[in-house]
Parts: sequence; structure tokens; C-alpha cells
Amino acid sequence: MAVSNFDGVTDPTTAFFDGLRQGGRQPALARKSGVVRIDLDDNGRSERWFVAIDDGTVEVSKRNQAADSTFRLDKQLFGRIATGEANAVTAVLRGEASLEGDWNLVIVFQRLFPSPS
Amino acid sequence: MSDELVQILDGNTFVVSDSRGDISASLTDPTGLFSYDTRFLSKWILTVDGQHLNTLSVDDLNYFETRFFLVPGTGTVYVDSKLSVIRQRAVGEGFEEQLTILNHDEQPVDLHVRIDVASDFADLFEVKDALAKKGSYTTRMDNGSLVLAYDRETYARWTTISSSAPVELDADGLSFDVHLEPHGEWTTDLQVAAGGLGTGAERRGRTSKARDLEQWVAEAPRLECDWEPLQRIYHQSLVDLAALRFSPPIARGRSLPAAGLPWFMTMFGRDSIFTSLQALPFVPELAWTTLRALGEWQGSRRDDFRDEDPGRILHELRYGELTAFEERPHSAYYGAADATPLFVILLDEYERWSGDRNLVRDLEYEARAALRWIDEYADLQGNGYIWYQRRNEETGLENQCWKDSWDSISYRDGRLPGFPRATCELQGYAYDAKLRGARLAREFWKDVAFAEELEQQAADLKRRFNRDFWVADGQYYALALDADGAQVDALSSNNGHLLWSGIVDKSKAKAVARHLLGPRLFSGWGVRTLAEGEARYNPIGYHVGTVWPFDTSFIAWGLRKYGFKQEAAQLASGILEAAELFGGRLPEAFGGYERSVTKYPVQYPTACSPQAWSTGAPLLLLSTMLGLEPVGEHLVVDPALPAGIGHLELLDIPGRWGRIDAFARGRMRVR
Repeated sequence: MAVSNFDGVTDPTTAFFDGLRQGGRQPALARKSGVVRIDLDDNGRSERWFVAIDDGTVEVSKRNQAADSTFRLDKQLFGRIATGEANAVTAVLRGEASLEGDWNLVIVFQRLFPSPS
Repeated sequence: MSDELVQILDGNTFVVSDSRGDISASLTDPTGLFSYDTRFLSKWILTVDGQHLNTLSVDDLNYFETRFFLVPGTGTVYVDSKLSVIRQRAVGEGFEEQLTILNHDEQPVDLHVRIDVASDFADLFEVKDALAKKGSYTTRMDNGSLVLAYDRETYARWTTISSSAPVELDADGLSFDVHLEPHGEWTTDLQVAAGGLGTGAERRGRTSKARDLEQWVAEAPRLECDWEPLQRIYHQSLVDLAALRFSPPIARGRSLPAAGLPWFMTMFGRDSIFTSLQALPFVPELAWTTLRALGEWQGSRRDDFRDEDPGRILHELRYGELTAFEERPHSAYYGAADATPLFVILLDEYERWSGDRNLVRDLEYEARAALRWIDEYADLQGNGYIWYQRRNEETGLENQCWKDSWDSISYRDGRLPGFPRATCELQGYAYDAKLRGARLAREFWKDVAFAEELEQQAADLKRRFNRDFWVADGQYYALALDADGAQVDALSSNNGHLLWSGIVDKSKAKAVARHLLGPRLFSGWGVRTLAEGEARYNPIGYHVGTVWPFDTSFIAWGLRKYGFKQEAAQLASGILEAAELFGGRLPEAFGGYERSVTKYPVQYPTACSPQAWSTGAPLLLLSTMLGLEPVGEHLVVDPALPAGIGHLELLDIPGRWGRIDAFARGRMRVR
């Protein structure tokens, strides 16, 4: 279920996580495990997502849990990453996004982002 | 500035200074303190009472530590100073420098000691290509430290400089008023820290680094040999490999080899894989980390800017400003056509040595994706070969094979082919990757159908390759096919990689070996990248005539695979004798001049040193001379030594057998 903002345009962040929920098993994440926490800043309001990866299965949740790595950034920017418009690695190098904990997991998590449009 | 540069390094942090310990960098020269592809210090100049210092000696204590003995300068040859100045410097989170001044006089003395500092925060690419900066610089004092900073939008990097002794700070440096009693001593510990990239990478302290180096060398097999230089070369290789190790944030604290100083202190797919292959019998952990890190960074998208495809293994990863702002594509850049099949080759070879089935299982998805890339993304012409043509026309690489300079792929007459290009060694790697992939599929992934399919493809590839690439009138394989399917017919060292891959028909191997040891390719030291007589041949052309030790080491391995033991030994002896003349450390490349003419190998002008796969070359040549080959649970030893080596022992070779010793005796007299 996609959430629309007042323009009637689908919020790409929510669309991304909904896609993950419905996408079933992710072969690209076979034999990978860990919890990625994504902290988004939506104009001062914080939004938090957790993606638990377990040998190819992914579970998306907003429920607090221990995470192996935390990816912190602006929600707009995440939306652009989630649609393939922006790149997560260069965002970190520029200091627009920060990465704490296990880098490996986030690098692998990137496989879920689509090709640039 | 003095001519001799002094460098210390630890992974991807390194300091290059003159022999006084001073740094005075222009934009284009690679001196300074570098970390993660960024220069954090471009000026670091010590004066005493306004005078520069003169060097008495430089002690290389370790790859990460050096000591400069200096005296105040008089400008004359005659030195009669009442003062000694000692700078002891070690790479850390930046570097630390202990500055000591000794008064040898009967009289007390008052001195003004000054260190001028500055940083241009240049991206290594800017240093290489002399580009201008877009951000702004600030300097501030913070808690008794001097902070040099650079900002561009959200991008921030800074250098923090502090002193243990009382210091006066200003925007351009550090000043000390020093009073020394007769025979007195003054000292301060200076810290220069690179800041801004929260990589979480841990830096080890100096003592732990020294301990670690000792352990690294101790854990490697022990070498006994009656040709004394080999001991030194072997030791140098182990130490340089230790120096080049770095732990990228992704490597879980384990390390993999950076490619080479000063331009390539980062992760390269191709270089890391070749070096790991060379080092497998000696330090197998490099292979483990390389496979893990390259697997995790494996391409998953279609991205023209990065020349990325699903399943493709990266070419190069960078952390600097130009990469951050996507002015360069290295985040990561995938423009290599060989790294992907080589990844599968390394995975299989690593398992054959180590017996580590877990890694083969963990990387099943990545290995399958790599094999799929060969067929689905690399076959640009749809005729069953690996082709390359960059999609990033602006900053991508034209030649996506190891000979990646612009003029490396040519016809005999010197013309350059259009794109796409299918160089021959890529087809060899694809062939080998398919066969090795088949073994992994059958033994570990329990997928017999896939294994059979791969074997079928490999057999078909070999048949077509021997038909399409064989230059009948020259009796060797063409360097490449051009877009029309015609042969790019120059004779090159790539033929040796074909032997290594196994794609060469048995009936053709002898002709190939004859070329590799023949006068056009063999210089007496090693195999020239391009044969003498080809239009573009140039003995000091980067990929068109120089000898690359790494290249020759794989050619020697290839010769062994086809039973040419003595020929392999001859190449081994040529490269190792060159190594002796280079003081135990092989450069990236050296001149292709005939050995009998120059008597001494001529270093290529801007060759990187140390360079990982040159460092690995003596290791691979050692295992080639010993004929080391894992077969099942055992290590087979089948030595063939060159003239001049009477006996050779490699003790405690690690692998699935635990530890094992290899002994060899030469047929020649013992020196």
C-alpha cells in the first residue's frame, strides 16, 4: 500500500519499502544477514525503518530493534537513492549521509536499489 | 627540494617527503600526507633560527617509520654544527613526529624553531591531472591545536596538528622558543591527524604495527636457499605486502592489498586478485579478504557512469572529493573486463589451497552472477567472446584489460582498432573461469546441470578461440579481435596469460612458448609487453615494450602448466636477477632493452613502487620453480630450478594439509 502526499504523488521511500515487503525473497541477499536501520530526517521529523536480512529474506519494520548498521540521511535524498536517481556511496563520501556500524551490510543492501533512471 | 624522496606508508595512508623530512608540494607532485585519496598536508617545513636543515642520514626503520638526522644548514659541504636535529616519523592516523634537538656545545643556546604548515586537500586525481579546487579553506585554533580545514557544501575534511611541548600557533604554522642548556636536549611530539571520513577503520599504534609485521613475516613460510639474494628478495616481498595491506571499512578488520604507491593506494579488482593469486601459498588471508570485499561490492545495476553491470567485479574504488561529487566515477568504477572472470578463478584457486568450503558457499550468488556477466553483459557482439567498450565516454577507461593505456592494443603496423575490442587474454580467463566455475558448481553447489553447461561452453569457446585468434603466419595468438572480427595481429606477452588459462591447444603450445622465450619477446630479464619489431614497440613504452614482473610471473606459471619447466625457470631467474639489481624490490615495470646491451635493468620513469603485483611476482616465481600444485588434499612439489640455484627449501607452506615443506635441488653445481 503506497502512501501519497498532498500532491497525489507516491512517496518514493514508502514505495521502496512496500516493494521490499511484497518482493518476497531477494536472491541477491542470499547468505547475508543483519539488521540495517535507516534514519530519515523529514524536515526535522525523524522517521525510522528497519530491514532485517536473513539469508535472502527481508523483513521491513518500523519497530525498534538492535541494528548492525545505521544509515542516516535526509528523506528527500533517500527517496532519490531508492529510485536510482542518487547514489548512496557518494552521499556518504560527501557527508550528506552517514554510515555507522557494519559497512559491508549497507554495501550489500545497495543491491536493492534500482539502476539509475 | 632534495632529489631523494622518502616515503612511509600504512595501507592507504602515506607520507612522502624530501630527505630532510620536509614537504613542499606543488599541485602536481605527489608529496605530502595522503589518506583515503586526499592530501591532508602539502607543506611541512622545519627551520631552526630561520635556516633550513641539512641531512646527515635517513634511517628507514620500518615501512611505516623513518628517522631523519639533520644539522642546521650552512650551505657549504663542511658541517661543524653544535646542534643535532632528529625527526622520527611514523604513519598513524595521519602521522606522528618526534622532534628532538641536541645541544653539543659547552654554552647554552636559545633557538627559534619553526614548522610551516599548509594543506591543499587535493584529491589524488587532482594531483595526477593538475585540476583546480572548488571549495573553501579555513584555519582555526582549537584546544591548543591548529586545524586546517576544507569545505565544499556538505563535504568536509580537516587536518589537526598538535604538539606536546608548549607551542605558539598561527595560521601558517607552529613556533617554539627553545632554551637548551650545555649538552641539553629538547623534544616535542607532534601529531598530525587526518579527519573527516568517518570510516570506522581502526588504526593500529606503532608498537602493535611492529609486532604485527613480525608476526606477518613469522607466519609466512620460511625460505632457505643457497643463492643469498633470494632470501632478501623474499623478505622484501613479505614486508612490502604487509605495507600495502589496508583494511577498507568493508573488510571486517582483515586486510587486502592496495595496488601501489603513490597513485594506487586503494582497492583495485584486478590488482588485488592477481596479488592474492601470487601470494596464496604464502599469505592466503589476502585472497579471503579480496574475495569477500570484491564480492560485496559486486555490481548489481546498469549504470553507464560507472560502467557497472549486474555481476561485474569492480575495477577501482576511491574516496576523494572528485569521487564524492561524481566528477569521477570511482564509487565504485567497474570498467574492467577481466576482473569478473578472475574473481571466479581466484575463488576456485583459493579453495584448492585452503579447503575453505564456507567461502565458496557464501559466495555462490556472487560467483554465479560473475559467470552470468560473461555471457549476458560482456558479449557485446553476440558471438561468444568478452568484449569491452566504455559507456562512460568522458571519464571511463578505454582499455579495460590490464594493459589499460591508450595505445596498448595495436595491429602489427601500429594502427589502433576501433571499439569494441576483444583482447585475447580475456577469452582465456573466461575459459578458465567456466571450468573452475563448473568444479565449484559440481562439488559445492550441487548443481550438476550448471556444471555441465559451463563445461560445454568452455569447450566450445576453446575451439572457436583457437580458430579465430590464431595468427597462422606468425604461429601465435592475436592480441585481440576488432569490431569486424578481424585479428589485431601484434605479437604480445598476452600469449603467456593464455598458457596460464589453459585455452591454448596442446598442438600450439610449443610455438607459443618459443615466442615467449624468443628474441622478440624475451629481453633476457623478462617478457616484453609488446614484441620487438611491432610498429608501436618502445622499450620504455608503458604497455608497448616494457617488462612487467607480474606479467612475466604469470607467464612462467603458464609455461609450467604446459610442461615447459626449464623455460619457466629461465623466466624466474631473469626476473629474480633483476630484483637483485633493484635492491630486492621490483618496480611496476622496467625497460624492455636487451639484457646483453644494458647489463642492468632500466627502471620505467614513473613506475609505482612498491607495487602490489610486482611485490607478488617473486612469490609466484618461487612457487613456479618449486612446481607447487594442490591436488586433492595434498600439495604436489615438482621442482625445476634455474642455473645458479643449487638448493631451495620452502618450509611450512600453509594450506588444507596444515603445513608442509617443499625441497628442491638444482641440476647445476652449487655456488
